[in-house]
Amino acid sequence: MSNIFRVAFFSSVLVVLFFSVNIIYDLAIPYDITEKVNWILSKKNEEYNFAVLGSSRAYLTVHIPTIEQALNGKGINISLEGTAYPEQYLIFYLFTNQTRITHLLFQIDIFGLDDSTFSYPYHEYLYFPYIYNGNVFDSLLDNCGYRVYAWKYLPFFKYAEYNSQIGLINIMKAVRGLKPVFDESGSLLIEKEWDDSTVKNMKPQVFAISEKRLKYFLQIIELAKKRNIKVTMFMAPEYSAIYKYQTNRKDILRFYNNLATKYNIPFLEFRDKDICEDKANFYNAGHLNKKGALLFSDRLAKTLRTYKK
Amino acid sequence: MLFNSFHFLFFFPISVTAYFLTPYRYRWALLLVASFYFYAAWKVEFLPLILASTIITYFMAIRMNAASSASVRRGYLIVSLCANLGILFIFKYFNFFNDSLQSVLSQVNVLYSMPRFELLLPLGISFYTFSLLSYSIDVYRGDMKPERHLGIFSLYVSFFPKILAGPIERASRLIPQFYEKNTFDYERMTGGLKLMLWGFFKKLVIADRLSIYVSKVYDHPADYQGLPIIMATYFFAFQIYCDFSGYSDIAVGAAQITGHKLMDNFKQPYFSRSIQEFWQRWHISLSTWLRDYLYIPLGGNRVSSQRWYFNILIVFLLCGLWHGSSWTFIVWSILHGFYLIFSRLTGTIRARITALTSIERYPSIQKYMRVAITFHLVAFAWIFFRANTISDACLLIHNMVQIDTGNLHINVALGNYELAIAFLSIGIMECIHFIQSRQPLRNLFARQPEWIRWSLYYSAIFYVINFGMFKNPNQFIYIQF
Repeated sequence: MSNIFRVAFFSSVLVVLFFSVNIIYDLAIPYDITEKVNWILSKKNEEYNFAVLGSSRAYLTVHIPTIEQALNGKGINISLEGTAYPEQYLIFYLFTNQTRITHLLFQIDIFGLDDSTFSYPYHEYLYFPYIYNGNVFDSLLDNCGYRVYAWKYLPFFKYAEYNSQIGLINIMKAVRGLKPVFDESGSLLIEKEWDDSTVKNMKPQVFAISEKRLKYFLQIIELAKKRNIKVTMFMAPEYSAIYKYQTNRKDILRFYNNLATKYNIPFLEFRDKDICEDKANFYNAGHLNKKGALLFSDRLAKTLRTYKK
Repeated sequence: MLFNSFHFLFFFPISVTAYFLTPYRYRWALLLVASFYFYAAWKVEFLPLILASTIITYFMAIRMNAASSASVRRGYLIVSLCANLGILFIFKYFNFFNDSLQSVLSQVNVLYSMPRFELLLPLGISFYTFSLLSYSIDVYRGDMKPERHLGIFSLYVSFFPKILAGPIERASRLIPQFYEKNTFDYERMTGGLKLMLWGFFKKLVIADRLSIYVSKVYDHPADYQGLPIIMATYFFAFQIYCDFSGYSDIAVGAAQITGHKLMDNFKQPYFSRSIQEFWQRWHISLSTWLRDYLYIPLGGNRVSSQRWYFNILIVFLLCGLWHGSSWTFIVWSILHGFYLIFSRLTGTIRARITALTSIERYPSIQKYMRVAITFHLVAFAWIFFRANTISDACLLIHNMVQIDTGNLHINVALGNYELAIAFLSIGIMECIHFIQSRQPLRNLFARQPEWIRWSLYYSAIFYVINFGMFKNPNQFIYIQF
C-alpha cells in the first residue's frame, strides 16, 4: 500500500507542477513582443483609424505612416508573415475584441483560397496562451483537430509538444525585454535586391478555391461588418513575369471581384506597370522590397484618399 | 510504433497493467499479442514475414534436435539459415548486389539487366534474423534444447522492447525468463522507468536535436567547409550514440518493468582506450554475436597473423553489410578492421614510443590521450557511416580541412539557443557517464534523502519534456537496419 501511495503522491505532485508551469507559461509568453501575435494582442483599449490585415505581402509592403497621412488617422499593421485566412481571422477577431478600428485594409493573395497546392501552415502554437477563449478554441479545433482538447485540458501538453516553437525561449526574450524587428506600427520593409531563383524554378500553377479558406475569408468580412468596420480589399503588387505561371489568375481575380461586389467592398488590384514590371522594386517574385513598398504605399494612399472623397 | 510516439505513451502502460493483471500461465500470450500489435502498428503487411521466419526456424530446430544423423542435423540447420538469410537477402541486399554487378559488368561492356525489387525494408529485420540465426546455431551445437512452445518462441523473436532495434538477445538467456512468475516489484518498476527516462533524454533532447545540424551539413556536403563539417562530425558521433543507446535504454527499461532482463548494449563506448575496447563497449549484442558465430568459428586469434587479418576483415565486412546495403557502411566497417590490424602491427612501435616518452609515469594523461585518439578514430569512421555516398564522404573530408579563419561561423540550422541546449545536454550526459565510471549511479542516488531524489526526478522529467524534440518525431537510426 505504501508503494501505491508513493506512486500516487509522486504523480499528483507532477501534475501540480505541470499545471503550475502551464500557468506561468500562459501568463509570461504574451510578454514576448518579438512574436508579432503577442505584440498585436498587447494593444489593449486603443483606437485606430485603420488596420492592415494580410500575409507577408501586407506585412512587408505597406508603409503605415504613408497611409496615415492619406487617411489622416492612426494606423497599425496586424498582418502576419506566412499566414492564410484562417489565422488572419483569428488575429483579427482577438485584436478587435480589445481595440477599436474604423477601417480594415484587407490584403488578399491570388493563392489565398487554395489550401492544397500552396499552403501556409497554421501557426497554432502562437495562440496557446489564448486557447481558453471560446472562439480561439473553436478555430483551433477546426484547423487542428481533436488534439486541441489535449492542449486545453492536459496541463503543459501543448507546450511539451511544441517546445521547439514556443516556450522557455519566449519567456527568456520577455525577461530580457527584447524589441521586435518590425517598426512601431507593425511593418517591416526589407532592403534586399532582386533574387532570380523564385522565377527560375517557377512552374505553372492552378489555384483552387477551398471551402475552409473561403469560409474564413467571409468570416473576416462578416466580423468587420458586425463590428461596424469599413473594409477595403487590396492586392499587393507581384512581379509581372509570374502572371503567366498563374494559369487561372483571371478566374481567381474575377471570383474576388464578385465577392467584393456582393459585399459592397472596394477591391483595389495593383498592377501598375511602373511597379510590377521593374525588378528593382522586388526582392523576389511575390514581395516588394523597401523601395517598391514605399512606392506602392504611396500609390495605395492616393487611391484610398480618392475613395475617402 | 516508435518509442518516441504518443501511440507508445498509451500502449505501454496499458500493456504493463494488463500483464500484471493476467494470470501467470497466460502472460506469454498477452505479451505476444502486444508485441505483434507493436510491430503491426508500423506496417501490418510485414507481420506474416516475421511469422514465417519464426515458424520455419521453430520447426527446423525441433527436427534438428530430433535427428540422429549429423548430416541430417546439418541439413536442417542449412535450411533454417538459408531461409532466414534468403529473406534478408531479398529485402535488404538484392538491389545492392544487383546494382553493383550491373555497374561492374557495364564497365566491361557486358549487357546485364535484372529488374530491381521495389520492396520496403521491414523494420528490425536484421535484428530478428540474427536472433533466429543464433538460436538455430545454438540448437545445432547442442548449447540449448529447442523451444517446444511455439508461442514462447514467437515471443522470443518478437518481444516488443527489442524487436525493432535490439539488443540481439540469445535465446538461452531470454526464453527461460518467459517461464518465470514475475510479480510486480516497485523497485524494479522505478528502476525501469528511470532507465527509460534516461533513454528518452538521450534520444529526444540530444540525438534528435543534433540530427537537424548533421542532416543540414551531410545532406549538402558541397555547401560547407571547415568548422561546420567538423562540428557536424562530432555531433554525429553523439547523435548516433545517443540515438542507439537511448533506444537500448528504453528497451531494457521497458523489459525490466515486466520482469525481463535484456542485455546491456552499450558501456560508455567513447571512454574506450582502443578500438578493440570500443567494440567491447559498442553495440555489444552485435559484436558478441559476430564474435561467437563468425570470428571464433573462423579461428579467432588462434591462427597465423595473415589468417587473423583475413578473419578480422571478413567479420567487419559482414558487420558493415549487416548495417546496410551501401558501400558507405562497408567502408566504415572495413576501416575499423584496418584500425585493429594497424593496432596489432604497430603494437611494438607504440610500446617503444610509450617507453621513450615515459608517459606511463602519468597514467591519467596516458589514459585520456588514448581515449581522445580512439574517439577521433571512431568519429572519422562515422563520416562514412553517415555520408550518403562515398563521394560525399570524400568531399566532406576534403572540405573539412578548408578552414576559413575569417569565418568561424558554426550556426547551421540550429540557432544559439538550440546549440546551447545541445551542448548543455551533452555536458550533463558526460558528467553522468563520468560519475557512473566511478560508481553505479543508483548507489549514489540511494544515499540521498528522498526529497533530493524526487527533486532530481522531477527536474529530469521537466528537462526532457521542455527540451525534447516531440514535434515530427525522428525515427531511431538503427531501426532502418
